[in-house]
Amino acid sequence: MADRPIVLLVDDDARVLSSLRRSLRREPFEIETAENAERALERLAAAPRVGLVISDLRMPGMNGVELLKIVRQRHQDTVRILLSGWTSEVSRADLEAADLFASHEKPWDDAALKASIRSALGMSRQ
Amino acid sequence: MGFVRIVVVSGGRDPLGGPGPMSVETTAGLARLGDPVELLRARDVEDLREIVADPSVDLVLFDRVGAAETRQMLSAIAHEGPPSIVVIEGDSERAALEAFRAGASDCVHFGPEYENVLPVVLLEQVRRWRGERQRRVSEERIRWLEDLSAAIVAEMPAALVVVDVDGLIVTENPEFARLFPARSESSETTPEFLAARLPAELMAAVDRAERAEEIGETAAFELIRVEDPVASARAYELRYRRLTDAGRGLIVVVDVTESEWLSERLDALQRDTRDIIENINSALIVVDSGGMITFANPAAERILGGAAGGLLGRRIDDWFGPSSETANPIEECLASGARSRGAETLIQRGDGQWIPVGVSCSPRLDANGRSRGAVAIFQDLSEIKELELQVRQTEKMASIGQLAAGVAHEVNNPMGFIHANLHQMSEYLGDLEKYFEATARLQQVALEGDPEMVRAAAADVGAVAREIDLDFVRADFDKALAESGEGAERIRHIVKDLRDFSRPDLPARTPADINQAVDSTASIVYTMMKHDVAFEKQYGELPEIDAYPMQLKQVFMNLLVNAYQAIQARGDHEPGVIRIQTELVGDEIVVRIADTGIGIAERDRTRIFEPFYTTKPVGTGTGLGLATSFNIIERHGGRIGVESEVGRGTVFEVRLPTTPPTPTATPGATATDAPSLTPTAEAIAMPTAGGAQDGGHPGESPSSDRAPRRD
Repeated sequence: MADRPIVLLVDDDARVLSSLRRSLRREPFEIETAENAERALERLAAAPRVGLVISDLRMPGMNGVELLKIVRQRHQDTVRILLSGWTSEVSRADLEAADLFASHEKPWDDAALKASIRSALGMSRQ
Repeated sequence: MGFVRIVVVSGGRDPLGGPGPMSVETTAGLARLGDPVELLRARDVEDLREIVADPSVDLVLFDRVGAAETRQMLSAIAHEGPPSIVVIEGDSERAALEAFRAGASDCVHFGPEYENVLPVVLLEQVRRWRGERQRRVSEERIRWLEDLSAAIVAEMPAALVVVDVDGLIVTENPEFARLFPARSESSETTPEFLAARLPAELMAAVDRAERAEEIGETAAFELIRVEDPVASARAYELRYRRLTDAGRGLIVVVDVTESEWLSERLDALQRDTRDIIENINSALIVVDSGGMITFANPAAERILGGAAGGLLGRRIDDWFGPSSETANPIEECLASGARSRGAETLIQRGDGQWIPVGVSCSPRLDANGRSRGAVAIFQDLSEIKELELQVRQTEKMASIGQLAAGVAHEVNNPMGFIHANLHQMSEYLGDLEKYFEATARLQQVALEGDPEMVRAAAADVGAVAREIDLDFVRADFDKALAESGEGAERIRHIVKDLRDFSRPDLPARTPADINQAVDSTASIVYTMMKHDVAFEKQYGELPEIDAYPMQLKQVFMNLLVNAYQAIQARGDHEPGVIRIQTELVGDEIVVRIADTGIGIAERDRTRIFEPFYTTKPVGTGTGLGLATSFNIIERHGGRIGVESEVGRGTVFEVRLPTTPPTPTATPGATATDAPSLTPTAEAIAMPTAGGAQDGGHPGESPSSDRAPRRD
């Protein structure tokens, strides 16, 4: 179990976190959650290393793009995926600065999201 | 010589005590003068003094008057007075000498030749005296003329200078010294002195004038403009006159800069005024006290619809109708003498078409305050009314666009997890299917009754249950179902709020609950703001008022979105507060929306209600929100105001009368009122925006009832 990669889900909506956990229950990685960007950054700074962050966009305080921009600076090996309801309000420059591995829109496609995660973590499709 | 006026003082006395009679000899002598004589008689010294004060008296003749009296009287005649001749009795040299000493001009002996000598001596004295008198008059005249010219030269607001034939300054007046002061580096004794003091353009003009005089072509004056590198340009009027003596010339320079400037300004002003009147897009007409048009500019002819010049002499009443909507503000102005500004009314053009116009009218009064008529300015409001409609529509679309982002996000969140849960539940169902198959097999072998088979089937059921994690699946299936149900409820809320918000206005006013209008709007916008803003609501008891609720909701939404953007603009991620307050104050409903945003700068505060005025970054605001809000509130007979402090926040206050104005009270209301927001436009526009509500976060979801409440 120890060498299973860790995926950190960030969303202020507990129901979204709950359903993601449900979908990813049988996937070969550990799921952790945070309800805002600040908590996510705290977790990222601690051990063990988080392999992938999937973040919502609109959250109280720091938003998802800002979070992923910081993640890119502080934790270069942590891959970043944005999962948002409405991306048109984010500037292109911000998106580029966050250097996302992928971006998914809500409502998301389970299979596509799983594929993204696996690919982000360097796993072959099963 | 004309009349000779002679004062005769006689010796002796007549019987009545008057002066004694003139001797026959003296009478004869005077007769020989050849000129008519006017004789004046002096009785005593006072008499004499009075008579000789008249400068036309030619001579005083003492006709054998006693020596003492003669002396006394001679001394009474001033030195400047007329000459005096003393007639001396006999041949006395001593008496003559005495007379001369006393001041006599000459003496004549009363001897045998007296009659012949007297006229000769007399004439000589008169001639001499008259010459003297002439000289004195001339001298006085010359002195007076000199004084006069000196005063003129000194006081005249013209620079005068006399130059000699070599160009040296002979004399100059104070004005010349003031206008063209001597500079220290040039010497007074050289011809360059003048050139050094006069501006080059003036000096050249002096040279021209001198040459023109030489060939006899004198000009009245020349106007010279002098460009000054430091100060502004000046204008001078130059006159040159050759003086008769020795080639001297008089140069007269008058600084006419001021009057030139004034007349130029006046010309420009007149041109401008004419240009403005000719070119303004507003009709300008002047009517006399009887309402007859005496002046009309081209725009007046276009708007009122007459041929060129066709308006003059027509009565202004012709364009207005009898009803209140087509009232004639000019007639009211003529009747009351009061100004009116921007009154909206309808006029009927020459082609029969009624158009909305704004009319401003000012009375013209004569010096005694009596009416001379009025000046009126008309504005064709047709296009403006049309534009207002478009603006209102555009603004609504812009608000909807802002709303869409928030709404989409709020709908997509529950949609996301419902979708994922459904997917998962169908997987769970697949798992449970395996378990049901296993239990069905167990049931089957139990009926067949083979204990080995039953045991094996039961073990299989246990294995499947472990494989699919049955306990978890059963529990989580319930959870997933409940969470999905909650998500569906969230979406239902959003849609309901949007529907409440967008319920179209009927063409007529409907009774509206302002608290409900504010609150349903707040619920809608809260979905897009909840991460950054806390709402504090305080609703007072309000009566229902007749209103256009949809339009009012649009106003509240604009104010709330502005408040939100003002909070976001602080850029510090600190949560802001929007306080919403309603109360009844007298016969007005007051709605206050206060924020803790960046505030509005003083210079912007006066302009925020202008259309297209925005302080927001490009693409964020259209600059129409507050202008539209202003119009909507005005249509309800209300007011909208703002107080703000930069860095602290802003309070918008909407005041609505509980008894709104009747729509027909305002002229032209038909063009501005109900049709502006057609029910169709509302019904089409709103549903496309999607819906949103404040979401289903446990513990923070505002209650869904729309009744007024206090939070």
